[in-house]
Amino acid sequence: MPRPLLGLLVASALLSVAWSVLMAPLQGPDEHNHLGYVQHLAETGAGPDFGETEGFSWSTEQVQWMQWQNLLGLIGVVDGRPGWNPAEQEAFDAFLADPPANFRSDGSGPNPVGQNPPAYYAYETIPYWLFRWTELPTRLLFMRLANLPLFLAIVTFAWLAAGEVFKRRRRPQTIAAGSVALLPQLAFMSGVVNPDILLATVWAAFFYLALVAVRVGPKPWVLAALGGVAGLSALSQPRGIAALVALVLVLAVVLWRARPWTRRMVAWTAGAFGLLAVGVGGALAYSSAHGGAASIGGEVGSSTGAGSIKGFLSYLWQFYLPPLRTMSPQGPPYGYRQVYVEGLGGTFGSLEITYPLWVYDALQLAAAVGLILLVVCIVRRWERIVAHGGQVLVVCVLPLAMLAVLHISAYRDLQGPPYDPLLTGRYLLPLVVPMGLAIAFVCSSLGRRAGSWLGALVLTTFTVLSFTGLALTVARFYT
Amino acid sequence: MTARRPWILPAVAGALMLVAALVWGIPWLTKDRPDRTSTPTPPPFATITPIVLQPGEEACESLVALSPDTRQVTILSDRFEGTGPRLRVVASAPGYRGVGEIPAGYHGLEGLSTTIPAPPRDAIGQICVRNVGDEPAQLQGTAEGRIQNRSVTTVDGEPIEAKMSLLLSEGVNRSIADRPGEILARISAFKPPIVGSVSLSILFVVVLLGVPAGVLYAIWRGIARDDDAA
Repeated sequence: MPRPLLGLLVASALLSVAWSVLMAPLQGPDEHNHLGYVQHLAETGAGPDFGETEGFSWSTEQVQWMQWQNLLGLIGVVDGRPGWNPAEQEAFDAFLADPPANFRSDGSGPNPVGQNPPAYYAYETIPYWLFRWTELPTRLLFMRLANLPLFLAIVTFAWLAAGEVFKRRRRPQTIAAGSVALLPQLAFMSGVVNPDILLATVWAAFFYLALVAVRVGPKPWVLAALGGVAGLSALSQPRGIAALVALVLVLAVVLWRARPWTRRMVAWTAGAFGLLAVGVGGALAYSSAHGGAASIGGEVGSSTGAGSIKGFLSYLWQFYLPPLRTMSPQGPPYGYRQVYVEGLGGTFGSLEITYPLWVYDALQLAAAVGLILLVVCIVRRWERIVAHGGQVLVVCVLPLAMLAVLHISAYRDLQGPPYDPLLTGRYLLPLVVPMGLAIAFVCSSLGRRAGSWLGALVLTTFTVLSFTGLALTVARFYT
Repeated sequence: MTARRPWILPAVAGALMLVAALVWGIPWLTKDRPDRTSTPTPPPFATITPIVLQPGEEACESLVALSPDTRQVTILSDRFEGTGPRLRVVASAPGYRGVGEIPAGYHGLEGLSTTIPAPPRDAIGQICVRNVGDEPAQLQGTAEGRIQNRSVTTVDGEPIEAKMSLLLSEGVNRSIADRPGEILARISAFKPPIVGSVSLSILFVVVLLGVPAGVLYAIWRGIARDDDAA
């Protein structure tokens, strides 16, 4: 294994374990609902339902735990603290000593995430079952730790993707993978039960495979892998449906470069789409069976809250730029700063643990400088960019595919109650690989000395921010 | 420079991390913070639901965790004009009864704290607030869906929808550096026996040393050294 990658994997593994242990139970985004989903799937073989049902949102076991450790009232409430009194533990133990029948399997829904496709939850049933003989808090801890291989895979795929782009030069590979490994928001999400970490893993793999496909052409194995990973994306999270657009765009680039087409090539391409169709079809079928009107298919097919093209463009402008005088407000003042800077830079717990404001100001400034440098580097190295057009196209179109899905979805959310654009920083985690590649590209374009210093500064800053996030979490929950 | 002396880059990066630890880490560790021992019902997130106690009436909150560290009970006054009446706070659990007084004269939207004798042991008990003045008392409660907990608030024995905002603390501000054992014990609550003070201490040391070590190693071998070839 390359030694720089080894160092990064050690650092990221330790950060992930620290987040798993230090983040108070069920305080990750919607973690209580995700746990309920996994438990019901593990105990009954079927996921919980979304919407109006006769059952309970969570199992009796989970409800008792949340009550005795004060976990539900803690979510997002900065003045709340988890229960740590031994008398509370004893009360929970007393419940476990004589539990009612089906106390683990009665959380059949309504579960607010019941419409999600099942891939991540199925994965999490493995640690759940391995530790089924333990109390639920212990099972949750091991379910969180089960995210570790996914996180390490993301870092490895970032390393490999950078290897494709930068001809396996260690310096940009280290900067790209390090920017991903040490991104505080990603490490945090690897320490809580949430399907976003699987979606980020799948997209990291997709980026790498897409770059490989550009290099080797439409080989059967690479087309099959791309189709399989795209299908898994759809099965991971409703936002993973963006893989549909991504696969079309990537294959368009790869096949365009491989003209003239052979019958075998067309067959394997159809196979790739077949695998995607299996994933999308499975996700839609599952979601429809469990989600009712809120299923993926229901939302896509819904005619309410569709808005208009003009309204969408206005929303998009106002998301990234100050509104023009002729524009009417599109939802709350929520845009680039909140999602890209504060969200992706690091907002922990259920969005209530934040860095001091000046940190976000500094991150925003750094991001702006970085974007300017990126543009300058692109202009200066335009000939090389054109020479690597296939790679560049792939690196650009995949984020655009995901962002298009996110923005369209957020715009539709704005058209009806509660008029809330459902778009947070963690939704951008599938795009960490191109983020790392962009940072590495800027560093490698600045020359060896300046680029090395800048790359080291980025990794150092992310390390300090990671420790700061952990420290804020300790102060939030345990003092 | 970095190619000829590859140790410079990781050394500077390490120094920056050290400076950050000294400039932000040490003050963070030694900063005094209110020490909550339990938060039966935190203050409302957005909407206060008033709990009005007529003279002589008593509001009680059940299933409150009391610990030997608990010295102070804090309730919150709702928005009102003028000043509020005297309140008597009674914390009780099997074999324990602690009484505190909140003098009259407080205003609206204030934290009202009183000192109580420490419970002798960890226990689940209740806290009652009686209006012992001549005017109605208006306290903060919450009926928000997100403030869901196990406690029930009653007024003169009758359950009400709102829950009385209630915070318990040691009554003194202490830093994290003053009480590492306590913090570790809180982190390990409800976790498997393997996650105890010793293992958490080891984890902290490993993370504090291992993460920077891994990053600096990567910077040294991946960025500073002139070994671009794979």
